[in-house]
Amino acid sequence: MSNNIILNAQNLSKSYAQADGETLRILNDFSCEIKEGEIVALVGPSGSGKSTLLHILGLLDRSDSGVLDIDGRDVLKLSDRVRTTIRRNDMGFVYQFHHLLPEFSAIENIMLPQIINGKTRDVARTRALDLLTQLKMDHRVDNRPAKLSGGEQQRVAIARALANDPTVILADEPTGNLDPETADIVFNMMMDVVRGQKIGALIATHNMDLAKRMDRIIEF
Amino acid sequence: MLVKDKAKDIAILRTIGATRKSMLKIFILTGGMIGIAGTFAGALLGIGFAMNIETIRRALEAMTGTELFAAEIYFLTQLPAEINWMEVTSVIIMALVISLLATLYPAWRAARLDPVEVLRYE
Repeated sequence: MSNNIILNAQNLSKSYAQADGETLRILNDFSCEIKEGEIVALVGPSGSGKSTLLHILGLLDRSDSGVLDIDGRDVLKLSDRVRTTIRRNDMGFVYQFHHLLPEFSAIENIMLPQIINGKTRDVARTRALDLLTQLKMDHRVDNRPAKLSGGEQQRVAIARALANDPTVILADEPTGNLDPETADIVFNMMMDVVRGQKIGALIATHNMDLAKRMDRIIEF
Repeated sequence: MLVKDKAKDIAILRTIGATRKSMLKIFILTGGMIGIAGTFAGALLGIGFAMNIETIRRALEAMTGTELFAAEIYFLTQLPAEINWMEVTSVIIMALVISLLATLYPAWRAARLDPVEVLRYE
């Protein structure tokens, strides 16, 4: 792990107006930083705002106030188009449910973010195959998500998140849908690949055993 | 309907870095292709129907055992059908333009879709 900070969030706040006129405060002056190659656990009860935080850090949502610095850029005030470009190049998402496109095979799901990013099909295919091999999924390359087990679907989702060589991975309960044994296998594979590529990661989890295996824990 | 069905896929594509503009393009292209296919299929069916209207009448009469368009009532010995190619062309062009215009609002909705809102309920 280096001391190079790749994601720095300072005093992020977020609230939603509810139907009854009340304001629901989700984030209150939240601050954190992630260094290059650092894997951080985000632990907190359901409804505490972990997903909202990950969406804000992943540039899918905006906070009401605060500063979010990614690779030296304050990204909160940027246009949607620029934020999308940053998300495409620097971010990888893994959700609790795999969210793979059902009409595409495993390898096509991993090629897609690369093709969106302007890579040729050949380059994208080579990278996708490499990732599937690292995640021990090279025997299931041409299978559609419906033909894969839960653990395999999640491994493909992890490979897709890594496809564009992101600087940070944001994962929302990536093993939450899996049985304990499969969760352990998938988590270990994700840790190996993330550590191998020196990517920063913020991983929301309810599982304290998994959280303890990361570099640091942020309690929400 | 397509936008509603594909809301989750749109959200996933936006998450992995597809821009709003590319969503707009995808749905205009999809709608346009459906419009083109529908227009030409409709045109072929219509032309085929008009060219064979008399044969179709006879077949229907044979099938139902009734006399359609009786000559003593309608003063016609056969159903008249004339294909005006200028009109066929203008109808095809109008149908193509209307189907293309009809894709704009759904494509705009697809581009405006908030991935956070969609994935929150998945």
